[in-house]
Amino acid sequence: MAANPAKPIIEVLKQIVSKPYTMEYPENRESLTDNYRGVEKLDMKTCISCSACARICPNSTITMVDVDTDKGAKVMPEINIERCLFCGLCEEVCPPKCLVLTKSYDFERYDRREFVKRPEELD
Amino acid sequence: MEISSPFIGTFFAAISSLLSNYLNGTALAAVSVLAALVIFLIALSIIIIAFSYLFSWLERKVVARAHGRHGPTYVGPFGFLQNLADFVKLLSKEHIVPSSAERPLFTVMLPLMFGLFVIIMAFIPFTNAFVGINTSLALLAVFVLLSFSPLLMFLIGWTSGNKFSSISAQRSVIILVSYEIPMFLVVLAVAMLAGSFSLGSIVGMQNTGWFALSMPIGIVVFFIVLLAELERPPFDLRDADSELIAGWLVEVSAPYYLISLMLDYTRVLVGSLLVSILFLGGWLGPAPIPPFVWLMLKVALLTIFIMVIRATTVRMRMDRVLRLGWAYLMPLAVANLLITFMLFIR
Repeated sequence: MAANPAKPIIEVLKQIVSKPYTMEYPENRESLTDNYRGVEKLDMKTCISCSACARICPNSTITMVDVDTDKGAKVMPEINIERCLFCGLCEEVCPPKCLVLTKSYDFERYDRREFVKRPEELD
Repeated sequence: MEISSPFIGTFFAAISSLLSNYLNGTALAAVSVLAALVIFLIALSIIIIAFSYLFSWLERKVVARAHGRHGPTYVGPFGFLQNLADFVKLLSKEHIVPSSAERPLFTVMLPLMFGLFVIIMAFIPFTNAFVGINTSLALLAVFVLLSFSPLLMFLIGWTSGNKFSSISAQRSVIILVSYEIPMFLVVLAVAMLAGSFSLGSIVGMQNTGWFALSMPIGIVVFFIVLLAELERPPFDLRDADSELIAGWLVEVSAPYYLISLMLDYTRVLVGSLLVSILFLGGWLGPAPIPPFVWLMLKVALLTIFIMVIRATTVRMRMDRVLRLGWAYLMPLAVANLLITFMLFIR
């Protein structure tokens, strides 16, 4: 026997009076979980230039580049976010915990070259 | 049959007394009638434009909510001015007529069809006093004029010289023509019950009880047929966008597209006005709310129901549409006619 023909209309009416599922993006953000992995952030003051992040990175995303600091020239990670798979291994191996994954996920750019982040940009 | 209404009559008297110092005799009468008609048309166009605007905004909102989306939000409060922005955009674009189109027919048909529905609106009473053309044959006039629309719609699709438009126009003609028969049978039952073709007296007869209660089959059949006549979903085979792109409007460019949108909203207004006048007691209602507001309230509820149906149903296949029309609605309409005759007339 056919189902109740009024049922779909009742369901749609319920949907109309309930809250929408979507949110207007730039103003309202989804609440993220604590272990969300977004764009990397580097604390240049505590970085010890150990290159552990560059070695463990599975996509070879991280290259160590020369940076001028107040304590002289050092090597620090330069990250190509375009190739990053946000696995969080660099964050795990970093001895002073200066390289962390933040909750930020909006890093869209018009030019793909802008995805290569210098250590100064990551700070 | 009288071709004057209290609404035009009051303006006629006022304007004619105003002009009586300057003009004489026939010139006075002619100018007064013309001025009264212009005033009526302004009132009518305010109603049509207000309804079109509110309907198009509310439809976007309601359908979006049914999908779990927000709908327009940025332009104005609750996105209320989004449609104004769209109208301005459509008006500022170029009007292109394809070289394969039959230029004179193609350019004249869409405004002509819009005009047809405005003329139909002139026959429909909004209250006892607010009628454009108050004749005792208004019901016949409305439905005879309504049956011109398949022809005009076919000409719009056919003259645009595009195969999609042509297919879409053929589909609309088939649906409109085959659904006209059950519609006329239901309207016949209404006229029989009221004993009159005048829309005013049909509403007057419903003082004791709505015709929707007297013939429950009738209103269901009429509403389904109306959805097909308005080519609203689930009968929107005319613009089945996955097959026919925009259907009969493929070659219709911006300012004309605006007219076609207005045309569709005006058709919805005409349709819901007809349902509320023929079945739901028109402007009759308890006293504190004025009659015009009662009518508009019923129209608003019906249009929201039409929107909800749009959000609920999927498009029907052509053969099933025709099968529904001929094999189910037509016998139901005949049954409604017979039952009405046996219960109320004999």
